[in-house]
Amino acid sequence: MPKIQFGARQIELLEGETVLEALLRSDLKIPNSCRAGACQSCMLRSTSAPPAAAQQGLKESQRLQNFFFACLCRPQEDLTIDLDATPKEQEAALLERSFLCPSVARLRLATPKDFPYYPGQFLQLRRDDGLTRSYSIASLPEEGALELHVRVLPKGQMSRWLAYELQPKDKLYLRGPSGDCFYTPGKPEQPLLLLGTGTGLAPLYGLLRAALAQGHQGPIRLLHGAVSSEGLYLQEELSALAKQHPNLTYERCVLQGEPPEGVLSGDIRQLAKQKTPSLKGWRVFVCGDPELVNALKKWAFLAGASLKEIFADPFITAPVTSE
Amino acid sequence: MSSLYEQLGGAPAIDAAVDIFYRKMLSDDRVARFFETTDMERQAAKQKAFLTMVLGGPNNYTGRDMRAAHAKLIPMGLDDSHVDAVIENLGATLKELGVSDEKIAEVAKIANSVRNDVLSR
Repeated sequence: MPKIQFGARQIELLEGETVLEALLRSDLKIPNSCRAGACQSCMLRSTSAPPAAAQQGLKESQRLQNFFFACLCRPQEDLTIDLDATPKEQEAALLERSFLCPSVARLRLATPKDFPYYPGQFLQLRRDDGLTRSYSIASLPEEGALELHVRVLPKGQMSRWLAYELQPKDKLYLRGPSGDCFYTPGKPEQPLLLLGTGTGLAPLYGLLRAALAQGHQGPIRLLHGAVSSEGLYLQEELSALAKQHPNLTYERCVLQGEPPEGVLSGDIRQLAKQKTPSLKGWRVFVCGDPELVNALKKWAFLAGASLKEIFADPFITAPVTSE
Repeated sequence: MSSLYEQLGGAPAIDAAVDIFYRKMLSDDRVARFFETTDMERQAAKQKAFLTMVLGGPNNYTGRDMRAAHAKLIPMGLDDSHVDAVIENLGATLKELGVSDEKIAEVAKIANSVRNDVLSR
């Protein structure tokens, strides 16, 4: 019978047993409730692909990361449970930095050796003194360096350090990648809707280019919103991309101020509703301000997109300390 | 005799049913306020577990689970009218999926059997 590796424990599966049953019988306190693959309490991760039947109900991007439900898992081979809730920490270094607009710095970091990622996932950056923040990955692996877009906040400890002080020689550590907001192939004709506010464009820029590189044929609509035109960036690059790829539509909008030529005026929620009122069959990616991301996610679902086809990456900012 | 859960197509079919059911709840002014959340996936998972249960699918929920799960909604004013609304939405969902009125009535009966647990009575 197959063996389950859970940390230091090795448990032999009994005939007809699920992984959950085996773990509970061994006094391991795995959260569980429905025992039917519905409530998601017993979700675990394995180091290699688990049986497909144990992944019923998960998003494609979660399946690719080897998440599964212990209560549905009856492996035919040995299975190792991945216990690292946080991936291992690795050293990183700044390669180059530039400004994409007055408030957004583009950082290119040396990619650590063991860091396979999907564009759109995020990583945690840690400074030598322990200060830690998360950033989404805008680069493609084949580009060689990790690209992050850092929005400089007036009282941002990490953002101000990354934008103005960090030098190539400084010690920097990262953990990751994490998150399921990335492009997965398999439905090349599916219409994709990409909605981002501010530096929410970072993961979208990554996953959009990944989709195009993988030959996505269906319509791709990108709508990038900012408070004012100063917050818009990568406009030329995205316009050029849209010219190159007829299935890509690129639009920008601002909340305040007179919109420049080619830029829409208004709230991204209203505009998204106007332009794509029905989302049945669509895949939707929403990234950026948490309040907007939540509202857009809910709208997308009510507009017909299946919950499994909605990927959200809310940028939750750390609370301001009195330092 | 197979359960309605199996007849509808089992787990993959229930995923589609949850989307319909959850949409109805979020759009229903009578109950929408009880569904305010930032974690829609988690909430949908609970709906899926509920649907699985009332359709006769594999489940291990006890009355105590239903009681505990809804306890914090009681101070928010959860009452019979809301349970009625949920059962109504459940019926409408099943009707959309082509289930007969007779079967829908059976499912409503099962849903009703947990009414007192849901309302902490």
